[in-house]
Amino acid sequence: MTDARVGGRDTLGLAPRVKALAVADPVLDLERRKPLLTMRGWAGYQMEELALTAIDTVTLKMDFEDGARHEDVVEAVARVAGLQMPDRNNEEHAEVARWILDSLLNVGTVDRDFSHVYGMAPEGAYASHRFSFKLLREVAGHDGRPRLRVSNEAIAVLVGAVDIDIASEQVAADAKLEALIRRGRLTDAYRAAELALRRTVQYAEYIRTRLEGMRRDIRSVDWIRDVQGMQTEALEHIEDRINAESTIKDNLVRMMENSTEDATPAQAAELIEILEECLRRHAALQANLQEAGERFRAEQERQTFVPPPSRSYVDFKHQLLQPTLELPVRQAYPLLDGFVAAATPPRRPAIVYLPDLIAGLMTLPAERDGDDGLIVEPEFGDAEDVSAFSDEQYTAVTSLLTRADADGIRLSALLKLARRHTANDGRGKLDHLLALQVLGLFGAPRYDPEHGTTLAALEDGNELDDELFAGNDLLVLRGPAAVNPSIEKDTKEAVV
Amino acid sequence: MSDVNDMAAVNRLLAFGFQPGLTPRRNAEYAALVGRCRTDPAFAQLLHAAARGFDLSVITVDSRAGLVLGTTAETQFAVSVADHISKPADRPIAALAHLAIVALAYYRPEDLDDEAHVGRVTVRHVDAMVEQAAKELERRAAEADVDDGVPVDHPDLIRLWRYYQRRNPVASTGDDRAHSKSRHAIIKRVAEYLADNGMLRRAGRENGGTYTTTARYQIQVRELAGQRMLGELAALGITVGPDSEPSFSSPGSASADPPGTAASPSPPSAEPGA
Repeated sequence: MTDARVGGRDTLGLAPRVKALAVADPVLDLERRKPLLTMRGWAGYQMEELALTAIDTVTLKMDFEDGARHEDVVEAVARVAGLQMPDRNNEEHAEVARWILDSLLNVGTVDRDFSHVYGMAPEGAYASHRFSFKLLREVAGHDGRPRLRVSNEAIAVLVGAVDIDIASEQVAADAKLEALIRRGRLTDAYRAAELALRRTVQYAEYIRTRLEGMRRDIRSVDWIRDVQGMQTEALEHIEDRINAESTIKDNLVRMMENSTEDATPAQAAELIEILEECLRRHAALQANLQEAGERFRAEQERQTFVPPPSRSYVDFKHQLLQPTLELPVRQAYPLLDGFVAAATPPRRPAIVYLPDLIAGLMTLPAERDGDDGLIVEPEFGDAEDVSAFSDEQYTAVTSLLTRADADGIRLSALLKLARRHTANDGRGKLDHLLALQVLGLFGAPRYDPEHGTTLAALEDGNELDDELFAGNDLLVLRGPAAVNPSIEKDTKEAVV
Repeated sequence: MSDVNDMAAVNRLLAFGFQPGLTPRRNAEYAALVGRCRTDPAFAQLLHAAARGFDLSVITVDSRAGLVLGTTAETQFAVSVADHISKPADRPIAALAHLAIVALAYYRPEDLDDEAHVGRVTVRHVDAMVEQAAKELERRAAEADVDDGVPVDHPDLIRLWRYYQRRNPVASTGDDRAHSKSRHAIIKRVAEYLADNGMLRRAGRENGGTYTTTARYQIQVRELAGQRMLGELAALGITVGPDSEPSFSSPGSASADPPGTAASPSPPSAEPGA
């Protein structure tokens, strides 16, 4: 009975605003997570704009029955991503869009939920609560594939209508739209029209759930309070909207005829398009409303006027399912588990028999069966072992090292020579190879049996001043064998 | 005093009863034993005694369903959701799916009494029914202005319907397979389990999987499961009249049931489950 208990008067009164902020957080979080994806170099994209585009797209695409398809949303987001970073290719734009969509769905968590902790202080005692919400819901489409719908929380925060009556906001939106068109501010008018469309979608969503509920169970809907009231209200709403939209369209056409600006026709065409979309939506809404009465009567006939049962049995839906749904999981689960035990046939229990257990533990895990067959075993082709440096480079470095004599030559000087060499040959990594070789000589002097000399690198405290490498400026010298016993002791490492 | 042969026959019948997929129509020996049970009271008595030894109860011996066994509280043979759903987070949803499948298959209580009734359920419609009930509760909660939070230190105090709503009915995966943690997938797993145990019959793949009920399922939920759960709910102080809203008699829960929700235009004699 938690809901009832926490329903007491909250003395803090912060919860609604904390929740509203929490809904915005996943969107802002995308921008914060962006730098973590340094490998991909996506710093140039404005992630929260892309996220809002995704939410807008789903809001506009979801209608009475269906939701938006994943690929449509990805396409719309990728288009905006393309505007933000035109020099990147389309593949990357789509990849960014998919990342945005996955993040908004919170793919990877069990519930695909976002949650936020907030506090309430009913009767003065502070208690933390967890608020769970979704931005995008996945529902089954007509073909059983997932479709996207925007959650109520997201619509509320997105449109900023947390506590505002739907109908009155629509009137305000109309007034704003008309004024903007009269003043010729078409870009703003476009935004306002889009906003008006979003309100219509919200209205339709409300009515859709009512009708759906009626189809399932007639008793869940109160005809006088819910259906009739809603029907009149919605029909009035549609009438007003159709009037308003026609006026706006007339205004717009008149303005286009008188207009002298170049940009106007294209903008006006977009505006007309969205207004037509509004009219189409309203027609659908009206058709559904007109059917409502008929459907109610048909459902009443189907559901209510049936002969009474000869014996009294348990009504599973009303007597068991509904009360159980209202229980907290802690209480409901043992009840339901008892139901499962009673409603399923007895089974042979698995008795743990020690030899079986040992055999079971020793067996290799079974191969995954057919359901997972989509995972393709990777096939590895033969790849040649490409060495990092070519033979010529080794020869070049060896010839450079012959310059070392008993007086020694500095690593910096060798590097300089190597780079000049590089410039002549066009090879990229000669200085790297040289540095590696010299570092090797520092740890393990190379004995040359032909001349009885040793090639070694010594550290004498000079710092290397180089654009690529840092550490000690090693001295490479060639001397008679066993002349440098101090090398082993000096373990200070030159950092390359 | 029954002889050894009778004892063997009784145990043979019990063994048949442990194979829920098997019906007397498919096995002549089974059919003969069922027939004997119905005509020979001493044999039936012996059967009941033998079942008691297993801590099981004989619900009925039916010519269509065969021997229908029920579990008692002490038995080792009872099935738990944990046996066929491995992830603890999925179990409340799966257990609810068991109940919802029955509720949809026998949508009207009189369906339970009608031997000719064959319930038809699909994964999609089971989910839609629970979703609809959850939406109704959500609407009522919104009207009553109930806070939807869950205490951080007691996550299992979340209402079952909110727990259900938090799961996506379906979820996208990278490669078009069903997401294993989605509600549809869990309901499907439960329905498949029931089908494997002779309670449902697979009837097609439409709407996420279509199933029809068997006589055994009807008897089992009618005679045992429904009554038992109704009693357990009553023990918690929750009683529901056949055609009214639930009433919670435990203190502190009054706000869960806002007043004036049952004013329906249907005639006053509206029947249960209508």
